[in-house]
Amino acid sequence: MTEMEERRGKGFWERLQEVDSRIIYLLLWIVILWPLITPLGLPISISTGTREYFQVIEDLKPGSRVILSYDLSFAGLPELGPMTIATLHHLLKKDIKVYICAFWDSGADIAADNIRALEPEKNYGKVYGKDYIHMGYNPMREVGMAQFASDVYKAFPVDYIYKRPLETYEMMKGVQSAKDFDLLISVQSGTPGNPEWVRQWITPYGIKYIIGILGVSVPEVAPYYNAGQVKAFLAGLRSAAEYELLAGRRGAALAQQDPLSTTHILVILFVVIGNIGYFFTRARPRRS
Amino acid sequence: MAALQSGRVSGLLTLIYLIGMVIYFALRSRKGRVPGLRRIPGLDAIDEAIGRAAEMGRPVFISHGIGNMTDATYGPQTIAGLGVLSYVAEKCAELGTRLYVPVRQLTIWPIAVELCETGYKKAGRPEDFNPTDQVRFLSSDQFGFSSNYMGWMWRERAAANIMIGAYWAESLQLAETGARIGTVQVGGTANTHQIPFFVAACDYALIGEEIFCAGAYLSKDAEMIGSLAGQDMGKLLSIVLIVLGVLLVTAGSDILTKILSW
Amino acid sequence: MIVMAWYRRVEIPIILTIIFCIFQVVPYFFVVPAWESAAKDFVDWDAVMETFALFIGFTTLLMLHGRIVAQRRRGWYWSAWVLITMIGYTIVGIPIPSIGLGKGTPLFEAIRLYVLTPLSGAMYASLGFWIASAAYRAFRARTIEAGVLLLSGTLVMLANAPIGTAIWPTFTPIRKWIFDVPNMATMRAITIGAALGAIALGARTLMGRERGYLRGGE
Repeated sequence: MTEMEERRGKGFWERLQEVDSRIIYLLLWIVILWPLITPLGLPISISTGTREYFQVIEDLKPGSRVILSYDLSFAGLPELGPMTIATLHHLLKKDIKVYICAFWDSGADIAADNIRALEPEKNYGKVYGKDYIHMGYNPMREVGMAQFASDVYKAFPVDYIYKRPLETYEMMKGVQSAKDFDLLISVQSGTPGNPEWVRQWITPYGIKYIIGILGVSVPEVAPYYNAGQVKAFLAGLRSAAEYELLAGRRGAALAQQDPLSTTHILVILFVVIGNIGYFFTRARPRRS
Repeated sequence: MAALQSGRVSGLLTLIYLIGMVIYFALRSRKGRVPGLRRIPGLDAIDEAIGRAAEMGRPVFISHGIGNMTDATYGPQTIAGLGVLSYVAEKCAELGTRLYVPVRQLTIWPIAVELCETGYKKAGRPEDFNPTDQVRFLSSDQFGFSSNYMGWMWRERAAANIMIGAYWAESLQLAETGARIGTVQVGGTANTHQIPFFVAACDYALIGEEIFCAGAYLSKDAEMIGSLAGQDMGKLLSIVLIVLGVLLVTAGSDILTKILSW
Repeated sequence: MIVMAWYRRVEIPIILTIIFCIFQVVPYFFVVPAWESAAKDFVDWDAVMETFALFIGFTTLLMLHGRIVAQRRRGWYWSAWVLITMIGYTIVGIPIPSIGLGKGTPLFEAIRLYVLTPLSGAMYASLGFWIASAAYRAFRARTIEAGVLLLSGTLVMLANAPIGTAIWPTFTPIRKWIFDVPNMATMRAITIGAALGAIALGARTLMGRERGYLRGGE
C-alpha cells in the first residue's frame, strides 16, 4: 500500500492528526510572505524587560566606559542583527566611550559591518579611538574572557580596524582591567556566552551586565536574571522591535513583527487541529 | 588563608565531599554492595533500536554532539556521548548493523575512529570497519554540520538516530529530520535550552544528568554504578542546603549565603 | 602472545588526563602564580592543536569526497561541489593581499557577505519550519502533564506574538509567571543535577573508570 493510499484509507479525524509537514511548511511560507508584502501594522506593546534594558543604557553617566561584545554567528544575524545595530546606535548617541569586541570570529566581522552601516563619524560626530574602538576578536573563549578581565591588553593587543597597539589610542588611558568598565553588553547566540561572562566577569568583579539573546534562550537566562546577575535582556525579534521603538531607530525587527504574529497564530491553529483530531479518535472507540 | 582563592573555599570543600562520596560508593560496590538503579527508558531503548535497524537492514546513526572535549561546561557532555558511542559501536558490530558517526570537532574525529575500531575488534569483526566512510568529519561550521548530517541520514534512510552530547540549535533540525524518516530516536543533552526540542521530537529523551550516567548504566560495571550513588549524595547535600537556605532567608538571616561565598 | 606497544598502554592517557586536570583545577582554588601561567599555557597548546587538526579535517574530507567522486557513487556531484568550494575558499583565504587574496580583500568579503551569511541565516531561519511541524506533532494532550505543557506553550506563544498582547495584554504577565516560577525551578533543578553529574563523571574519569573515550575502554 502506498503512503497516499494508506492516508486515504484513514478517517477524517486520523488525517487531521497527520497533516503532511510539507503542507505546514507551505502555509507557514505564505503567512510569512503575506504580511511582509502587505503589512498589517499590528500594535506593539513595550514590555518591562525591554524598558529595563533601554533604561540601563539611558542611565549611563557621561564618560562611562561600555563594552559591547559581539558573541554571535552569521547564522544568528537574522534574529540578533537588529538588536545589535540598535544597541550600537543607542550607545553612539550618548556621551560615553564604547569598546567593541568579539569572542566569536564572526562577531568581529559583524561588528565591523555595523560600524560601517552606522558611520559614527558622519552621523554621530564620534571619533575612532577617542569615542569608540573595535578591539577585535579573541579566540580563547572563556579563557580569553578571563584574560580580558585581568588585562585588557593581553586579550586584545591590537585594534581590529588599523591593527595598531591598543594602548596607543586615547580612550584606552586609565583602562587596564574589568574594574575600569561601567557596563558590559553582550549580544550572544551560544557558547561562549552568558554562563561564561557570569563566571569570569560578573561574579568576580560585579560589573553591571545586560545581554541580547535568541528567543529560544529565555528559559536558560531567566534564572540569571532573577538572581540579579543579568540586569536586563532583550530576547529575539519581539524585544528587538520594542527596543527599536524606544531607541528611535526603526529597523528590520519592526518590519518583521507582523509575520511573527501570523506564524505564531498558524502554529497554534495546527496544534489545535491536531488535538481536535486526537480527541475524536481517542473518544470514538470508547463510544463503540 | 592567602593560598586559597577567596570565594572558592566552599566550592573546594563541596568538590572534595563529592569526589569523596563517588570514590567511597565505588569502592563499596567493588566489595559487592551494588546499589539498585532506576530504569532509564532512553538508554534501554538503544539496544532495541540497534536490533530494529539490523532487522530492517538500515543503518544506525550516532552522534556525540557538536561540543568539544576541552570545554568546562560542554566537555563532560561530549565524553558522556563518546561513552555511549563506544557501547553502540560494539553492539552494531555484533549484530552486523551499519554504523555511521557524524563528527563536527576535528580533535574528536580520531578518538571517535578509535572507539569504533575497538568496538568492531571486540565483536570480532575488525574487517567490517571503514573509518573514513563510517566516521565522517562533516564540517566545523554548526549548520554545515547539521545540513550534512540531515542529508546523510535522509539518503541512508537511518533506522535509528542516537544523539547524546552537547547540542545547540541543530538539535531540532536533526530530530525533526529523523522523525520524518521514521527513525527511532534517542536524544539527550544537558544544554537546558535544547532539552525541550529533544522531548518534543525524539522517541526517548535523556534529561540533563541522565546523560552523564549513561556510560555507567550501559557498562553494568559495579564500581561505575556505585559512583552514581555518590553523585546522589551530592544531590542530597544540595537539597539540604536549599531547604536550609530558604528557611534562614525567610527568618531574615543570610549566614548561609556568607558561608557559601567564603 | 601479542605484545602491545608501550605507547599504546591505556595507563598513559589516564595519567596525562590526571596531570593536566590537576594543572587546571589547582589554580582555580589556590593562589599559585606559577601554576596559573602553566594552566594558561596548556590552554594555548589546545588552541594550537585545534589549528593543526584543521589539516586532519581537510585530509579526511579530501579522502572521503575524492573517493566518492572517483567511484562515481550516488550523488557524487555533491561531493565534487564540496571539494570545489573547500579548495576554492582555501585559496581565496591565503593571505596574499597584493593579488587580491586573504581576509579583508573584496573577494573574501563578498563570499562572506553574500554567500556565507545568507546561507547560515537561511539554515537558522529554517528552524521556524521545524518548530512548526514539531509543535504540531508533539503538542497533544495525551496526559494531564502533556495538557499542561500544551497550555503553557500556547500561552507563551500568544504572549510572544504582538497580536496576542494586542488582543489581551494579560498574556505578558502570564508568560512572565511561567518563566519566573515553574520554568526557573525546573531549569535550576536540571542545572544543579547536570553539574553534579558532570563532576561525578570527572571523578570517574580521573579514577580511570570512565574509559569510553579511551579506545573503547580497552
